[in-house]
Amino acid sequence: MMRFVIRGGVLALAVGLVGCELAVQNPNNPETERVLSTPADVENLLGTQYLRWHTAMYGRLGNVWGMANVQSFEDFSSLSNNCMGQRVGIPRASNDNQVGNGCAGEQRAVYYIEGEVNRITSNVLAKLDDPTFTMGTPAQDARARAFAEFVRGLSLGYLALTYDSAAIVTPEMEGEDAGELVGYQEVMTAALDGLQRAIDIASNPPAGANGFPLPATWLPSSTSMTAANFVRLARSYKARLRATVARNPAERAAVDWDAVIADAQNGITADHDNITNTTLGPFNSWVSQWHTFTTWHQMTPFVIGMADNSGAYAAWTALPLAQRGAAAPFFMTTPDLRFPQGATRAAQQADFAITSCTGPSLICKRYFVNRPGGNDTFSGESWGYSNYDFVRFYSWRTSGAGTARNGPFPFFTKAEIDLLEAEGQLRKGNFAAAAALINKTRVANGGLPAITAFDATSPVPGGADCVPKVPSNAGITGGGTVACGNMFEALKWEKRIETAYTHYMAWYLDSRGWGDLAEGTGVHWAAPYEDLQARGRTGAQIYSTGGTTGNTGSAPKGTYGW
Amino acid sequence: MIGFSFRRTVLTGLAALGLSAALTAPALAQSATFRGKVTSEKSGQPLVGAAVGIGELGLTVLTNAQGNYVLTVPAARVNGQSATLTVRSIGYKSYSRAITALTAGERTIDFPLATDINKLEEIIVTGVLEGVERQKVPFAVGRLTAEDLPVVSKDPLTLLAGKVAGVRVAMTSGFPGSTPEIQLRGPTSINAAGRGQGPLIIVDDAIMNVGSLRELGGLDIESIEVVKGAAGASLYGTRAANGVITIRTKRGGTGQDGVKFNVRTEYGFADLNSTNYGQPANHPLQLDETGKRFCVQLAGRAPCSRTLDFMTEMQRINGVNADTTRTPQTILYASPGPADLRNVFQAQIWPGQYYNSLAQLTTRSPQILTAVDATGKIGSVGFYVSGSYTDESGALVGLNGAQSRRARVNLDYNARADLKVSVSTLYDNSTTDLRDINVFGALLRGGLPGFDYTARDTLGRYLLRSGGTGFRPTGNGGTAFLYASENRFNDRTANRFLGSITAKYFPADWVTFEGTFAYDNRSRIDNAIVTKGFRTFSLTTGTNNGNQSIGNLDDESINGALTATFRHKLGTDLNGKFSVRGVYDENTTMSSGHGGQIYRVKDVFQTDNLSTNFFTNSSSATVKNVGLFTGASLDYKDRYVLEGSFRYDGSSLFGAGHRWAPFGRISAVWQVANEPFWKGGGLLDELRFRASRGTAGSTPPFTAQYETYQVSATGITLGQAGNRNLRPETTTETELGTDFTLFRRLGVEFTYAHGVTKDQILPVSTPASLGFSTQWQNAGTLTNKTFEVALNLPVLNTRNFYWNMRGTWDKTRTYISELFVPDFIYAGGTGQGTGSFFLMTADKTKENGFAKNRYGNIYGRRFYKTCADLPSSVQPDCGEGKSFQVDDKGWLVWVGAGNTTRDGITKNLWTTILPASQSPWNYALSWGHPIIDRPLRGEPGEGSGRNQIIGNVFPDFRFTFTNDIQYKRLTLYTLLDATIGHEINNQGEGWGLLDISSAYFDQANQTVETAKPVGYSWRAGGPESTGSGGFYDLLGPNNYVVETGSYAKLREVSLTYKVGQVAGVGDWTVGVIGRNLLTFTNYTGLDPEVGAGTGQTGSGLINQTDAFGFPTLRTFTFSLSTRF
Repeated sequence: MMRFVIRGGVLALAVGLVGCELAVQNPNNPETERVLSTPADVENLLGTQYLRWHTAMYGRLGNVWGMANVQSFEDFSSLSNNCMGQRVGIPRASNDNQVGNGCAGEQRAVYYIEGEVNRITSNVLAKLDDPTFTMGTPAQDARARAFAEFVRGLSLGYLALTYDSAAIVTPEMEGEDAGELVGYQEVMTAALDGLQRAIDIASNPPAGANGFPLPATWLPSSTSMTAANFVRLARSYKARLRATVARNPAERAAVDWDAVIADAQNGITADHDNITNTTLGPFNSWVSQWHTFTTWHQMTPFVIGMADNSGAYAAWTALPLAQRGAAAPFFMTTPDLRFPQGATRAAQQADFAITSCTGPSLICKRYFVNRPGGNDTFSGESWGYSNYDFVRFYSWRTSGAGTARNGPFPFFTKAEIDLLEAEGQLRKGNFAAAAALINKTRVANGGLPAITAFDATSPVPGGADCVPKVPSNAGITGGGTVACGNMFEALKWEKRIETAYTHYMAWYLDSRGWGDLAEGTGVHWAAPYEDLQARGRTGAQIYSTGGTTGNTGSAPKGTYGW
Repeated sequence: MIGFSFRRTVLTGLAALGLSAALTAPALAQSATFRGKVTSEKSGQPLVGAAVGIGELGLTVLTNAQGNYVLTVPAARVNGQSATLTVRSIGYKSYSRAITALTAGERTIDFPLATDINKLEEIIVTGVLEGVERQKVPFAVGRLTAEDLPVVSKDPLTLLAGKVAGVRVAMTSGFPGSTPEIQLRGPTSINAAGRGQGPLIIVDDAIMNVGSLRELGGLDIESIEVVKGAAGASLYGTRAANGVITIRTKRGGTGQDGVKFNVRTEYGFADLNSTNYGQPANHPLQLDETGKRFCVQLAGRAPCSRTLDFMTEMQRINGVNADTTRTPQTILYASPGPADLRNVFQAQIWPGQYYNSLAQLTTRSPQILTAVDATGKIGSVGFYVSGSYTDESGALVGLNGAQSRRARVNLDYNARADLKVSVSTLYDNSTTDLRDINVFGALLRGGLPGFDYTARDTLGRYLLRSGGTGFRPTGNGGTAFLYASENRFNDRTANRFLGSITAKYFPADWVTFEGTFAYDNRSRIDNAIVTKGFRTFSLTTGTNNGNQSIGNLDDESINGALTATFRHKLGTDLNGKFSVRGVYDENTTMSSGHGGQIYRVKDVFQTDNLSTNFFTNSSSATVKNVGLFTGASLDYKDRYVLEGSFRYDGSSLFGAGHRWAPFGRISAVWQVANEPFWKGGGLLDELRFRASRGTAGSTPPFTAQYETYQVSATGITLGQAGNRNLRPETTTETELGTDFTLFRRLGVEFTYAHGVTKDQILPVSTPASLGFSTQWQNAGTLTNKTFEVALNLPVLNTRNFYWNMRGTWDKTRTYISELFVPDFIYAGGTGQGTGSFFLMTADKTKENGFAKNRYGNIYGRRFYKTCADLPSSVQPDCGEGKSFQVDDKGWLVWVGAGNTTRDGITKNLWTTILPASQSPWNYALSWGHPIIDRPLRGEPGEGSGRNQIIGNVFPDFRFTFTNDIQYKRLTLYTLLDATIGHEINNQGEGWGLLDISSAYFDQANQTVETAKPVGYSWRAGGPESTGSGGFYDLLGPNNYVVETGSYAKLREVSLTYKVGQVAGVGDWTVGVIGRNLLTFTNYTGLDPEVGAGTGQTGSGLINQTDAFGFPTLRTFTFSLSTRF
């Protein structure tokens, strides 16, 4: 009997010993302790955060960019993929944020990813604030701090651009502190402050080893991120963010344009690119997808029609919305050289074919193409149909710099920074300075006559061939008319054509501040319902934006009457 | 490392047990022999395989083919003591004969056995302290033996389908190598992602942590026991909330020395139940005036100014000597705009040859099953050795299907009278062709009726592009699959070794020690190759020049247990039992993958030959579980059995703050029929009541407790917040039941179970600013209520004719009874349209007749069908002569006052639109098109269709019906398995609507009064202003595509004839076997036995979306078997 008792005891002991060792480390996914365990690890983590910031907007189709582009007429598609179809219709549907809405995945992506970047960069800054911690040298610490502030500022900035509210995480906050939701203006202020701290550090960096330039993997670009280049880039983003956070013309007018001008004048001196990499990132998923020219993309005439000198746009605008394009897809002729030239479709197709864009050159001969007839797509509302696709970056999409979709892609053009300054100068009444900046691309790229009347009202030159011809009263019921635009409209035309598809929500961000969105278009997205729920919000506290049914954040009838 | 130390402990213990037993071996003397015949009392037929034994001595023999037995007691154990000679045979009541003094010599005792209708005397081993007769088991147990399984299966779980009440087994995919989904009673987890809703499965004492049960095969099964809920499964602790299935494989003989061989072969075929998938005869594409050529859509050109012949066009776009094809022309009305949607009919007859793509690409494929086994005994070693080969080619042309080669060796060594060592081993090697696992989606609705999938181009290649683009709105069906079958490979090779050893030591009548150790290893390699020169629609360098990826997965699992069971007679009629047990299991999974693109040299399929875009990855995970168990039972006069147990489990999967969790059970049996006062009198016999209340758990998924960062080549990102307080889900189940026979003929088992699973493990959203997007928390309660009935009716049992009927019925309702987080949405397991398939809420109010908190409610949109469906303010304008009327298809539509639904063409109303400004919903309506339920003007949410409960994925009830008929040498077996009252989201039909290829809306033979334009079916959701009505609704569930999925399947049919000896050799049987032969259903999809992936709910039986899964195949085989 004793034998059995002993064996039972051995068994119990064995089991007990086993039980003491039930802790198993997760070998695949580290936790904060392992991620921040050494200065090198901290740098590794920090060094990926620009890419992470980038991923939210550019690395995925599952975000709001597709919706924003159809809402701002930068694109037309009736596919339900990524909720383009749900947002393209007129009258506008709301940016539905109810629990379980069909666009929830897209609408939360930027919010959650930028929230994550905001948290990680704040954690890194808190680490750098620890007097016992150093990356190695003061120069290395400064480089890290400047980069962390820069990316943190970008993450807050893009939260402010996209959503009506967000929480601002700071280095001083505990890990469990989620912060309170504050409005987009306050979030933007925090973003600009962060960028300014990055600029301040990089403007006077300590000397020593491992300082600037930034490691190439942190911010992959064909431009070396020396301290000076880094400052120029940060100031450029400050200008873009400050100007485009406005939700309506009043807010746009109230922007500190002096600050925009100052940042723009000290901003990038050439197109800023990122070296895209399909495997490792950064990437540009939406632009890649739009260049597939299927039902995902075509240019609706709403904006591009302003270049027309054939009368087609005037006729199109005069029709009730439901009849526009019903007879045939929109065709136009234009003196703007960024569009295919020729009086007939065949002539335009002969002038410029997509296949001429497949060489190593990043920039195609034209920005837009009159696609081959066999590639026409007819899906959804007829007012979306035109002959035209955007192809400016087709060589990047196919075989640009080496392997398709790998290589430099401009995410911030020099034209944009010039036109940001131009808008500031125009709003300040410095019409000549503004015109000079507008004329840069208007003449060189568009082949259009330079603006020589330095005021706010004179129509752009060109007479019957003037570009742009802007519509009035071009709403659902028809009866719209067109007329040559003024300097501001010329600026808007240049900015749209030069920034089309170059960065996240390019047309949408400007159109809401310029008052050009269609009536009822949401001017932003509500904080995603998942976040509101997690903060204890229920019922009516979970809200939507936009639409025509009384939600907040709906654009009124726009400048052009739609 | 602790696992190895524990293994040493176990093995040391086993060795010690063996050693101590060897030291006490008894001496030899004269033997005693019992012989006789065991027969059926009713029919007089000899019973083969009946077990005759003396329990006190641990001796058992089996009867031979003539029902005879010979039991010899070794002389050393013949001491004149008292003993009991007992005979047991499945389906018969046991019979015991007391031997007052066991002495040397021979005696003859015959046993005529009575039928045991409720099988109350069969020994149950699952969920109880040690093997005990069913009549003393306090909870429901389903038990099947080889005799109950006349139709063998390649998968042990498939054998269970339709045979046990409360067990739902369904093949949600017919892809070769697939395994069925299983659920016992109801689900216990709201979120079972990565965990599943299936039971704990134990095979020959080895816990199934790795691989597929299919690798065990279905031929070697001796018995399967099913304990369906926590009330019975609490002994298994933290992993048994979904029940337990224990499988025993066949073992060697207990009779005379010798060996018997069985040989069995089946050869037949498998195919689809039907290749008629309701593909429409007509299409909406524009033809020229001859009706033979399609009109190309050209902007600015007159309609039909250019036309084409379809197959000529297909040859043109494919016949390119390059890696790419040409783009087909776009045909007028291939993708109709809003105006067309209101005008165009689906009424054009396809010109030229009409092909059935399903018939062309599927085939009647061979099914082969060959097995041989040897059962026997040599000295003190019993053995069972088997080998088998199976081949199922699947039903798609050009695919290789799945093949398996399997060997098993089971040994039982009676080392001494008081020590038995059993070893079970299995080796399985299998190959599976993984190509085209998702082919049906594009095939069923996208395939154009005029495309010849078997055609080749002028260069001898299968056509790559079948013209989906330009002919279909989506371009679906654009790929011709046979090209891919010829030019790429995707093979899985798996090797599995499973071994277990169990030692039982009986040093005295009052104590038993048992030790078990099991080792299970499965390694798998997937090798996916696209050959160099592979063609694509457009230039895709990484594919055109070939690519390859290799994925390795290695799973290793060990488990061990040590048990001591003590028995004691506590009084004259009171017997007690006490058991202690320690268990441990550990499972390690390691995976790695690598690959790249662009082969340097053609047809050299090694990754060194690749030149770019290399990738590599790896991961591993280890799980440890340990448990301490103790239990006791009391048995008074065989009338009252009271049992209690306690188990304390630790798991590495629990949060660090909650490493251990308690489980337990209290249960009782009252055998009323054994009471002196009971006079059944033939009306109601064998009555017993049973009650059990127990707890069992479900562990969190591996990563749930950890704070995680994701590390990849693209950087480091935040994952989830950690939770050190994460606990297992704990199910407390109360089970009440009764068993009895009526008129001594009808056996009845009735069970009611009420299970409450607390601490639901859910991924809960966190504020985005925390950086982590989710955290796993214990945050809800799920409740199940189940009723189960099992009936057994031996209709006839004569010498020449035997007929037995069995039936089961069960019903389960599952509710979310508590939720400590906001309501949330789960997807239905498919990528599109089902993102908000389930609304998870604890709200107990009702909507559309469904309690909102019922688990499995389908959340979708509803088209009006009657005037009563309309908002009350609109109802006065509904009815004959009014604005809203019900059309001939049963849907409520707007027609305008004074019109009828039949006036569309005659009054030229088809293009009429009720403007939003005049619509009660502030939403424009198209004339005669269905109307989706949405908020009225000014109501919250105006503008969008309203999501609401439109069905539930769980059946109202299930039933099965089995017949077993034997006439002389002829045996017929049938199994009908029915699932009634659940809803299925027929997403395949949704795709069909999108591609204008639904037979239901084919306008053939319609009149001007009943014809509908394509917009009637095509669109409603999302860009609602661009569509004109329609049920397609962006593939989301709605009350058109969500249909009742009730079905009854003739799941198994077997007709065999026992030939007997042929030329004096063997004992031959020939037969024909059908599986899944017939399906009775009104469901319009290909097969109602469907389920989409696993998703958040963890089960295809819950994700009832028919998203073109590989349909279940029917098989028909000829069988030939013999034994000698």
